[in-house]
Amino acid sequence: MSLVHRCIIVPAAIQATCQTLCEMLAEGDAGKGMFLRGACPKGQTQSTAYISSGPIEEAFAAILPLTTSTTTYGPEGEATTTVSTRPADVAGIAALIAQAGMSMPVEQIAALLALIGVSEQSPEEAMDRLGLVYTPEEVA
Amino acid sequence: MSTVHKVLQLWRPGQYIKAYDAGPRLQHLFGAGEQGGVYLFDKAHQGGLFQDAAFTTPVTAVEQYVGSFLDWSGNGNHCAQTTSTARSKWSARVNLITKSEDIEGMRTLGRCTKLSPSSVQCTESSAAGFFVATNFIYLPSSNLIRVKIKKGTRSHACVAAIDSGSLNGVRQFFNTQTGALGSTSTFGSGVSKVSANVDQDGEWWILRFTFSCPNGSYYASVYPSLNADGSFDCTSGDIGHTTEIDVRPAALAYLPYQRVNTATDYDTAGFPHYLDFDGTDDYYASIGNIDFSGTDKMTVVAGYTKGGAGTSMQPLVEFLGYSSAGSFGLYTNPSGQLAQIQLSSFGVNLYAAGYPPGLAYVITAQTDLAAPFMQIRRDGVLAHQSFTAPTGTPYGNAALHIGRRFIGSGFLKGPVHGLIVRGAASSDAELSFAERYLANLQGRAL
Repeated sequence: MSLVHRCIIVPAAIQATCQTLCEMLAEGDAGKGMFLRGACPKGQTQSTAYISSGPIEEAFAAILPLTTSTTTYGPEGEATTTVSTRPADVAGIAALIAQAGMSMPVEQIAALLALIGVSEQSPEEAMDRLGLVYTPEEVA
Repeated sequence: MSTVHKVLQLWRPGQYIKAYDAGPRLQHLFGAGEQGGVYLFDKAHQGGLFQDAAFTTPVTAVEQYVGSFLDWSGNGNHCAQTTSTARSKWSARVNLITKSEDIEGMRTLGRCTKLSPSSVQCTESSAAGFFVATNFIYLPSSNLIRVKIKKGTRSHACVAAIDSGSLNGVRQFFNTQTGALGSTSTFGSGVSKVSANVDQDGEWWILRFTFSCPNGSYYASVYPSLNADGSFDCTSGDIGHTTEIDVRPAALAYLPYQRVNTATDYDTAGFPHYLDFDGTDDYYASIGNIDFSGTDKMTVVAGYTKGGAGTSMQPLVEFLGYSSAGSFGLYTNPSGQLAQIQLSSFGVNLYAAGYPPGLAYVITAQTDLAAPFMQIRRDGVLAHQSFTAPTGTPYGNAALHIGRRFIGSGFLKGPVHGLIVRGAASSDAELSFAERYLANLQGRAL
C-alpha cells in the first residue's frame, strides 16, 4: 500500500457527506473521523470549511481532484502564482461507491467533487491559498 | 545447601539490580508497578513504530507516517491512530530556514541566475539579487545570524539581514574582498546589533553577528554584490556568493540546521528523529484505557520542539476532559508562550511563562493531589511550583490522548521526541534521569 500526502478541504455544507463517503470508501477505519478541524475566513468564527491533512492511499489520491499551485518570480521580482486543477475521476469514484454498496447519482458525485479542494500543500499553504484560517477554538 | 543456593534464596530478581540491565533505564521508573507509558520516537526506537494502526507494518524510513507506536514502559499502553490522515510523519528534518525549499525559494530581483543553492551568478552589471528565506522563522529576543559567503575578487560588499518583511530588523554590511565589516543598519524599535565579526575559512568568509529584536517572526536574507554605497555592481559571469544562512538564538542552543541541496535530499546522520504533529488533525490515543485510579500523583515528562503556530492550547498529553474529575493534561501554548498543567476536577492550572517557540524543550509536570503540590520544570530546572492545589481524588481510568484534546479540538503542532507518563511522584534523581534521557533524544545535553 503506497501512501501520498494530501490536504483535503471540504465546504461545511457537505462535511457530513464527505465524512460518510471517506468512512465507507477507505479500508478499515482509515477514513473514519475526517474533516473535524474547522476553517473559516479570517476574522470570522464560524467554520465554512473542514480540513484533513495527511497520508491517503495513492490509488485513492489518483482519482480525486488535485489542485497544483506554482509560484514563479519575474525579472523584477514580482510573484506570479498559477493554480491549476486536475479534475477528479468521477467514474472511478462512482465505481468505488458502488463497490461499497452505496448508491449515488454520477451527477451528484461530480458536483460533490467539484466543491472539494485537494492539494499536495501543507494545511497552512492550502488554507492561505483559499483565504482561510483555522476556526478559533474554545480554550477550555 | 550450597552457598550459591543460599544466596539465590535470599535474592529476588529486581531487588538490587535489574536482571536484564544494571544501568538505569526508563523502564525502571515503572519497576514497582507504576501505571503509565513511555513513548519514544528516536532512531533507536524505530522498531516500536508502525505504519498501520494494527502494529503490523514497521516504519522502515523517515518521512513515513506512523499509525501506531509501542509503549516502552512495560505496561502495554500502546497508542494508535486509525484515521489515515490523522497520522503524523516520522521525520528527522531539522531546520527553520533551509528545509530545502526555502533555499530553493531564492527569488531573483535582478538578473542573477541560481546555479545551485550555494551560489548565484550575475549575468549583467547593476543587478540585484538576494537569497531570502521564503518562510518566516520565529525568533526570540537575542539571536545570532551566521552567513558563509565566498570571497570576492572585487570590492563588493554583502549585506546580511534579518527582517520582518518591512525591514524591521537589522543589517550588517561586509566587504567580500577584504572581509572588512561595514556599516550596520537597523530598522524598527528595539532592534539593534550587539556584535559582529568575520573569520576566514579557506575561500570563504564567515560572518557572524548577534542582534537583539522583539520576539516575533522574521525573514533571513543575504544580498550579494551590493556595494557599500548601496548600489549594485557585478559583472557578467561573476560568481558569488552566498551559502548557509543560519539564524539561531544567541543564548539558547537550537538544534543544528540540516543543510540539503534539494528538497529530496535527506541526510539524517546525526540529526534527531521525531514525530511531527501537523497541528491540523494529528493525534494518537492509547488503544485501551489506562487505569490511574490507584494514584493521586502524576509525572509527565515531554521532550518536544515548540511550534510557533496553531491553537492556543495544544496538549502534549491529555487524560480525560479538561477540568473533569480524575483528569490531567500538559499543554503548550505557541502564542502565549506558556506551558500549562491542569489536573483533576478542580480546574487547577499552573502556568509558567517564558517558553518561546522554535526551541527544543524538556518540560516536566508533576502533581501530588494529596500533598498538595504541583510543579513545572524546564530542562531540569524548576520553573514554577505551587503548594496551594486542593486535595483531591485519584485520577481516572480512560484512554490517554497525545496531541489532541480529549474533546476533539486543540491539535498539537510541532515535533515530539519522547513522552513519559508515570502515575507516581518522582524523585529528583528520577526526574533528572528522565529529563536527560529525553534531551538526549533531541540532540542536547542537560
